[in-house]
Amino acid sequence: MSIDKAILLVDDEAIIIFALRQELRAEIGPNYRYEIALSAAEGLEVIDELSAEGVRVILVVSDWLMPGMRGDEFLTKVREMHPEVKTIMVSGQIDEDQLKKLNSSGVLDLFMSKPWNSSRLAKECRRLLAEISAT
Amino acid sequence: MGKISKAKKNLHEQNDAIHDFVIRGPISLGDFDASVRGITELSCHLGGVQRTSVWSISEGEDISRCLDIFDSRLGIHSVDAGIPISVYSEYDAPHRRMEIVAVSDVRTDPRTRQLVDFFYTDRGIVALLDVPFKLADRQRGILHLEATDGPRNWGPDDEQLATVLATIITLAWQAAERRTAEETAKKGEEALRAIIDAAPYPIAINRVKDGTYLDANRTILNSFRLQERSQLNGKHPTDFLTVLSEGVQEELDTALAEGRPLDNFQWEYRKKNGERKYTMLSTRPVEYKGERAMVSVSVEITELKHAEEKLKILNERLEQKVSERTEELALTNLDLQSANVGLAKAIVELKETQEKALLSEKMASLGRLIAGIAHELNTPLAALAAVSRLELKNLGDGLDLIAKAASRLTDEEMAFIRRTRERCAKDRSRVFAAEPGAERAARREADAVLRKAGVIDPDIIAEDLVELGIADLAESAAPILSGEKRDDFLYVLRASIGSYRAALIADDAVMKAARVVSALRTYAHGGNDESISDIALAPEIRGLLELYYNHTKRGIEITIDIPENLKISGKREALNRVWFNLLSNAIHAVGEKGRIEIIAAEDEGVVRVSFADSGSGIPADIQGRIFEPFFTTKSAGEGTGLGLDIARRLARENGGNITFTSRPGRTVFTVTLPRGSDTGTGGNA
Repeated sequence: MSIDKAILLVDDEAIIIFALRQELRAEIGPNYRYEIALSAAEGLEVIDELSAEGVRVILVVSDWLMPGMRGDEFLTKVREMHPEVKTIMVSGQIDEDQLKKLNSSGVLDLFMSKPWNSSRLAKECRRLLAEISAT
Repeated sequence: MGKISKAKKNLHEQNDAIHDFVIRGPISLGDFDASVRGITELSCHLGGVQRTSVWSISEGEDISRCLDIFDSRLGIHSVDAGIPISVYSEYDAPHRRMEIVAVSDVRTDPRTRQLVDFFYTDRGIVALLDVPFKLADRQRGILHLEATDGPRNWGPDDEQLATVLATIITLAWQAAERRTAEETAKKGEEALRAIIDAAPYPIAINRVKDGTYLDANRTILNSFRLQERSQLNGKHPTDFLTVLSEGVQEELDTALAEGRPLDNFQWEYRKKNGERKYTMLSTRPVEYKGERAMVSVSVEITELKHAEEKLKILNERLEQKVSERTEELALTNLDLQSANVGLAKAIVELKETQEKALLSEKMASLGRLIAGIAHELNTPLAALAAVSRLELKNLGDGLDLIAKAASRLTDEEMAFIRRTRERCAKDRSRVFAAEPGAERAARREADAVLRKAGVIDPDIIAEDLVELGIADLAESAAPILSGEKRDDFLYVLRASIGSYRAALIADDAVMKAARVVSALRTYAHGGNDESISDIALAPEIRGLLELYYNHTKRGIEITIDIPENLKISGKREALNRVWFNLLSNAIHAVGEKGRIEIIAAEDEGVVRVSFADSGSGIPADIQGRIFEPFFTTKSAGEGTGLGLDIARRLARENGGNITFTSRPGRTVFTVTLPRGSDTGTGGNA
């Protein structure tokens, strides 16, 4: 039996990805692949490659302000291709208007600001993952 | 009849004749010639002589003129030629003394002898009686009673008669003179009247007593529409006109009553027909027909007055206009002043607006800066928070648990863990080398190796190794992981390597945060001290880029080419805003991908700092406007449109300027600034 579900972490800051991965894995458990990407473009590539491997990305945690494609655009694209994917945005700085737009667009399941509240993030992640298991 | 009675009778007769002549004769008519002729006749008749002649002598003239000769024998009057007096000087001498000369015989009398041949003989004159007649005590002539019938002895009666007759000549003379005088006076009066009547000016004579008219000329009659002078009788000027000017009637009345002359007295009156006239009047006191009167001459000056009034009105209008214009000018002046005040206020407001704009741009810049700083600080903070939670968890598990697990491991197994940790310490970059592709490959490899080695849950263990960044060590770790000490080994490995990685991440995060703070301090330095100083340029720009770190990772390549020892002179905070602004614009221009070059070089005391970007360039049609305040190409909310305006003003305040060139693919903004005073001495701040 091999892990067939993945959680994708996207941030242009490596230390964020590593810290986030360590924390999430400790909280949510080892039964997922914790894939990383340093840009949205890379994130899309990873999703494609995992699909090819038969691994389904079920949760994407993304930064907002990144080089190239920003988080909002990235998550919108992800949702277009994989509507069932849960999305979380973790950002250190986002424009209020952009956030409102994003929240009302329906592409975002959760927004958290950096530094994030660990227990809340874990709780929300578990909730979202439970939703996926239920379907 | 006796001699005496005859003489009485003669005397009576004489008296009657003389009386009759004087009363009824030509004397009363003033006709001198006729009077003289009457007297010669009367003399012949009363004196009983054949001839009587009257001669006149004019003072200062050497000639005696004959006025009349009457020859009673012929009954005719004649006139003799004049005789030079010098011819008969002896005869004349007594005449001059106003003596009566009685000559009984001219041929024998010494006084007349010299004239006998010359005069008497021809005229048959034998005796004569001469009486001079005088006027105003001066001899005017001589009455000659001449007898031709022989010598005669002149008695006192004769002399008396002759004297009376001579006196009558004087009377006649006087009467004639009076008449001449009267006639002259009358003619003069007529001439005067003619002049007065002909005068186009009103001339009147009024009684002092009551002001009524004594006389007036035609002009006045015409003016009052009167036919006859008599219509003025008993009339007063006020019967024909009303004095209009105030106080004038009183003045005229007093002057008239006092007989005081007036000169060029101007007044206005209204005639009965309503016509208004202006007159200039002069008066003189006169006695006229036995009464005290005033003669007045007027000149109508209505036209003149009207002209004067028109002039006055024009003048007043002019004055009014002048005063109106002055007032207008004053008002205009006031307007100008208030406009000026308004302008000054507007300038103050504009200045305030400018300051507000400057402040708002400052705030906008600050806002962007704070957003950047927030992002740059939140990233390491989030990482720090996450790893410190992890460490807390590890510590929470208890060091004794870790120690117990470690005690169950062999030295060899522990040595593996130590080596792995040492590798992390030696090669930090490995820890942060996030290469998703390489990581996935390493995971796959590890998974396969562990699976082959018969490790239980190889995929999870592979994920563990990936998380710890040691997936490449899967093969060497596989023997341990496949053994019974797998859990203890993994536990200690995670505690050791995981903690170590967490510490490294924390360290990196702290360094990152410190760098941001340092850059911020560099950027904000001089905020309270806006004096001009020498500023090392390269560290400034690097510090700025530190704040913009997140942008530089976005596919924008930023290169800096600034000599380390290059210094500029200026106000640090102000210039930082210039750099910030130009870098912001360059990043905005480049968009997702491109290059930004920041180049600085010194040239003859001037430092040129260029920000070149590979953006699409500034369209030619807006190139002239980009420094305009509030001009922006950014969408609403993104920019204030003040950045370049302020940047240029700040550059200029620092003794420099900003210029630019732009074409698609390369836009260069160049800031020129004075070189720092110790540039080139080496070293940097």
